[in-house]
Amino acid sequence: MSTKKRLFLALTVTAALSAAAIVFAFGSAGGSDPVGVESTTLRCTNPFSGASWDVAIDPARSTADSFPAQITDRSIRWRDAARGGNYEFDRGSGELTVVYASSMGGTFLKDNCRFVRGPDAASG
Amino acid sequence: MNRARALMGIVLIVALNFLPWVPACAQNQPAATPPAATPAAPAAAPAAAAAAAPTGTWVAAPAWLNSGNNAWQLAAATFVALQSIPGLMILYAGLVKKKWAINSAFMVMYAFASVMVVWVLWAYNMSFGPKWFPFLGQPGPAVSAGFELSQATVPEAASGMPDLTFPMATMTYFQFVFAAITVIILGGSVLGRMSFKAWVIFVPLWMTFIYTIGCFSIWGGGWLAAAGAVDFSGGYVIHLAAGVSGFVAASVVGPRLQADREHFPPNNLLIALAGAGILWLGWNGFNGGDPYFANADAAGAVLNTNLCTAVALMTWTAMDSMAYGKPSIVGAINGMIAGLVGITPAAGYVNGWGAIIIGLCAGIIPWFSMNKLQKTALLSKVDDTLGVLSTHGVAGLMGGLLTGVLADPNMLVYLGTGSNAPGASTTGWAYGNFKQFLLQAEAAGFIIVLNAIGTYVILKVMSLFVSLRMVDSTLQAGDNAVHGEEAYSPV
Repeated sequence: MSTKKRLFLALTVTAALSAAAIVFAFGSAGGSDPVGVESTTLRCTNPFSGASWDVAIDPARSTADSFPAQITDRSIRWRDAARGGNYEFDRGSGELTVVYASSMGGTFLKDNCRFVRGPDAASG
Repeated sequence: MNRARALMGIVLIVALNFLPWVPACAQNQPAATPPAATPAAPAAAPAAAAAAAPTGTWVAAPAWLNSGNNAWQLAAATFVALQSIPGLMILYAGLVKKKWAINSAFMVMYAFASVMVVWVLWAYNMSFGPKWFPFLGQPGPAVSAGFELSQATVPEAASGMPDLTFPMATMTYFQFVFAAITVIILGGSVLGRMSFKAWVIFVPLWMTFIYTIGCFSIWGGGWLAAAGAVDFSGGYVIHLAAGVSGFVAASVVGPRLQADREHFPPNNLLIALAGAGILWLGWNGFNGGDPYFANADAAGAVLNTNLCTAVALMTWTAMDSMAYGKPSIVGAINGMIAGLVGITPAAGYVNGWGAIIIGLCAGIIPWFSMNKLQKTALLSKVDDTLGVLSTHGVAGLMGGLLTGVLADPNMLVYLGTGSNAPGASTTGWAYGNFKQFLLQAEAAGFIIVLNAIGTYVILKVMSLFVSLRMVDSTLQAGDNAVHGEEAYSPV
């Protein structure tokens, strides 16, 4: 086997193993989830009334309140199929923005949220 | 004598028949209410009679109906209707050359009637009904008794609003007057040459295939609303759409006679001013009606509308004075319209400072568009009779984008009391939300492309069957040749 062929083979094997490792690492964590697998609770507070409500975040299943969610280290996004709202939680600011459709276009609601249970609770 | 007796007898019979109902009417009871069945019957009525009476009571309205909100919504709708007839009808009739006064007014009147029929038969539900596609509702009539008297709702947009407190009939009429004025504004681009027959066909087609899509996408709970794009009262749905479609229509239909393009003096500026005044004050209903409640945000929208308009009118007049040496009343009308249009998408989202900024921009940007851009060699090939592209298209686009910048999160459209309803508002770029500006740009792009392509296709298909432009001999004669009538008697 010529040196060129050996080099080509080695590169191919290395690339294949790297690809497999990447697929394994991210695939086992539920797609794009860098957060971890333990479920957490996000507590959101209405800045006007002071009332609080909880959202169950399940990174393993990529769900928020049992709705499919996009969970990244910057934000959590989901759509409430029952009420029709689009939710986006900004991990940096702690602000949850809810966009509902109204007859003037979008209607925006904002809550202040923090993690109260799970691996994210300690950090913030 | 016999006749007099007979007459007296009839009067007496009528009076006697009405007499028993007078107390009921005085107590605001429905006319058909049998007095014995109402709780308003005298308290001294015999107990036995009360016991024998049917249980229950007559009420004027269902529990969900708020008479104040319903009254305001109907009044606001009527203000907007007045903007079309007679507002734009006499504004157009006064601004055009004498020989086109009747044709211009009739185009407005016809469009108002045509849209009314189309709206209730299928277009309302395509704009505000249940979702058919992400950009369109399911067509269907809005005429049954059950529909008209039921509680108003926009099914795909209900989650973003409190429960509405007026009936579907109010909602349908309120939204109809917006739909009608859109195509009427569009008509301002093709005055003085579009065949009346072609206009008769174009209006229902445009309403069905273009307006409904833009309307559902932003106002009916469609994809742009779900994404978060906002348009308080129609900067995009109405004015950008009318401006773009009007410009495309002006291009496809073709220009006026060259002699008319070069010399087209307004035939009656005082009539035009009366129309302009109706337009301005009618806008209190246009923007004040859109929160759907007679609430604080509606009041804010009305104030902002007038503030912005005043600033735009004065700015436009200053621009005219600087550019041409004289303040022009036609220019002032254009400045007024640009201000009204500019604040429309923002009226309930910006504060008073925002309204002033939009007013300044509305007096400058559409002015440049009309006086410079539309006079360039390229754009002047298109004969946009009243400059609708600038005063509505550019002003609507500008207002929509500025909404994405100036929307103040403290301008709460609705208050919230529940755990997940802290109050609905919109946050612009100036308050840290750049994303809103991008959403506004995305919505504008959609409306521009939809209207440019859709209007072009409709008119091109129509041109296979009907001539879009009047023949030159008719264009030379004007109203008398088209309608057999003239605005001013020759004698």
